[in-house]
Amino acid sequence: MKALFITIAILYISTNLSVQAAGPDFLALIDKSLYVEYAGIRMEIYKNNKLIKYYGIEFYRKEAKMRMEFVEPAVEKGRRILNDESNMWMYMPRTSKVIKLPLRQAFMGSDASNRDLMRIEFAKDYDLVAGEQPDGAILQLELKAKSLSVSYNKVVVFFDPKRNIPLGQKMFSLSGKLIKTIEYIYKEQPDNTLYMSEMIIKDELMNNSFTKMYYENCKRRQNKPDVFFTLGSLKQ
Amino acid sequence: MKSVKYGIHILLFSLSPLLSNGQSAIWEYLLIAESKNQYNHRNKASVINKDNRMKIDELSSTTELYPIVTAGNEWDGLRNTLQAEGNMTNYNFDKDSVRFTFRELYTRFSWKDRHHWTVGKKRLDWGTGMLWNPTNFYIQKDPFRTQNRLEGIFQLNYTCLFTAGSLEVYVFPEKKTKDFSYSLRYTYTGERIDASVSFLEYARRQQIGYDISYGGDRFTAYAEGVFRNYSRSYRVGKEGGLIPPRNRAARFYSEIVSGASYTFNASSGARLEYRFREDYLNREEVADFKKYLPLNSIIYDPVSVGKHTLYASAEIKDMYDRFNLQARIFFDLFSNQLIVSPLFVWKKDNFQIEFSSVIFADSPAVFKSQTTLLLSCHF
Repeated sequence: MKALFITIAILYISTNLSVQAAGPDFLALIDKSLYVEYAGIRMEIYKNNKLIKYYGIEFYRKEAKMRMEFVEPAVEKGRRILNDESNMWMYMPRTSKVIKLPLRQAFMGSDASNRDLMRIEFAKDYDLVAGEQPDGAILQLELKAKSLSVSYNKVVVFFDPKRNIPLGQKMFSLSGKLIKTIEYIYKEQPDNTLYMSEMIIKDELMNNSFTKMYYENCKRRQNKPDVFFTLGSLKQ
Repeated sequence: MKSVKYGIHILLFSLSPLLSNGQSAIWEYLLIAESKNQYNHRNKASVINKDNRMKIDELSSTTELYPIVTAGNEWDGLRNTLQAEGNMTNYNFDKDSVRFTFRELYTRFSWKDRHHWTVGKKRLDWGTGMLWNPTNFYIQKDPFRTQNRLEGIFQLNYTCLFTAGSLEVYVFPEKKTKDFSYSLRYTYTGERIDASVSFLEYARRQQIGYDISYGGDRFTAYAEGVFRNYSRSYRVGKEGGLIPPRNRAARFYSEIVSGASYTFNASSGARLEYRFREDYLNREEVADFKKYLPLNSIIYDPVSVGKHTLYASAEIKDMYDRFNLQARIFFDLFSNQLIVSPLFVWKKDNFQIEFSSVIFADSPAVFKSQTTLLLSCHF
């Protein structure tokens, strides 16, 4: 594996080609391991180790389109958020109205931004520029954003090559400052497949603050049609 | 008429074969209790309410209860739902003032999430404006509290969804078939943009509407407008006389709303919205209106009587969305009506507290200020 990475580094430096062409497509593997089309999510937001806010969410996804329906707490019940890659809308049940959201708006007071939750496509947003295996087991993959529209300029992903899953990631700003860290925890399902069961997001710019997301009933496939992920469907 | 409408619902609901033979049941409920307590600081110099002829109390209270139930079933791509949102209101704790209405009561059949048929009383959600929605011809929001649960409109609706848009057809029944209203609306969704065009036949008058919104990384921009060959506003005639809407010239009037919002960071943002109403008062008419008050006080709107209205707001919120503080300003460019309104909202789990004050700076205003404490619980 080390030899592979040396080859990758040489290839990258000498030809300035993407390293993905020379080895396993790590970005595709990361995307694949995190891809679920349905999950029941409980999001808990902590400050000084004290739970200050929570949400119950039904999460639907089809390729790059994602939709969240809030079921808890009661004050947020019926609220929906839809991201179709280039648009983000929120449906407010009180007024039956849909409003357009800016893509970089923070996600309802959590340590996650809307993009953290609603646009997670490494292969599309990032290039793999370097990789190393310091402890002989976990790969550290350095990713660089393809454009300035991506929330984080640099991401380091900790990747388990035996199980082909990301274990965590660190996100950096354009100036190289660590902004956020994410830890992924997995659970083996009865069919021996691995699903993410927990995600811990820590905003490094805020002290003693983190968001935990618990995933339940994850499904790789669901049967919602394409129109379920449209503006019109959000109101129905 | 109302009892007939509700009867249709109950009949549709009970006849639905899906409810008895369905495969997947839908059952959700929500109960909202709201208590609105207001201190009204009257403007004793107001010519509109001289000697408090409107009999406005210094203190007022409204208690509202919203039981909301969604029931239904799904079977092989066909889904049937019934939505009922009741409203029980009590004014000033007076036992004789309890009123019960259905804000929404409708049945919907959906086929494979693409085709939706709706019958009943349902809110109309047209328009991109945050405060003002000219395309929504039936009901307008309270600009001081846009989150109020509005009254639905009795309608028959068919909606067909496409991957890049939707087509909506509406019939709004009245007591006589000749008074029915009809409308058609097409919405398109593109990259970062969505836009709608609509046509309405309303009491034998017509309205053409459009709306568009753009979403950037940190900002959104939107516009909404109508052209209609009728007016709902009074005009000031000679010597302060009123010209009612039905006597106004039969021509097309436009109403336009445009706005933008900007998110500075996770805890602050700002919004600007502008409204133009062609059939409202120009500068000369505003002068006449003020001159002949209270003869024409029916024209008076606490926010704006003129053609041009501006709204601006700035918001600061807690990183965890537990509370937010807003400063809101309304200004009428012709009548110089100015309103300043701070708003504080605090949320914890199922509880919400809103504290606001609306300060009126124009002389005819009925109030100098209105201060409101609104408590709401969701179960």
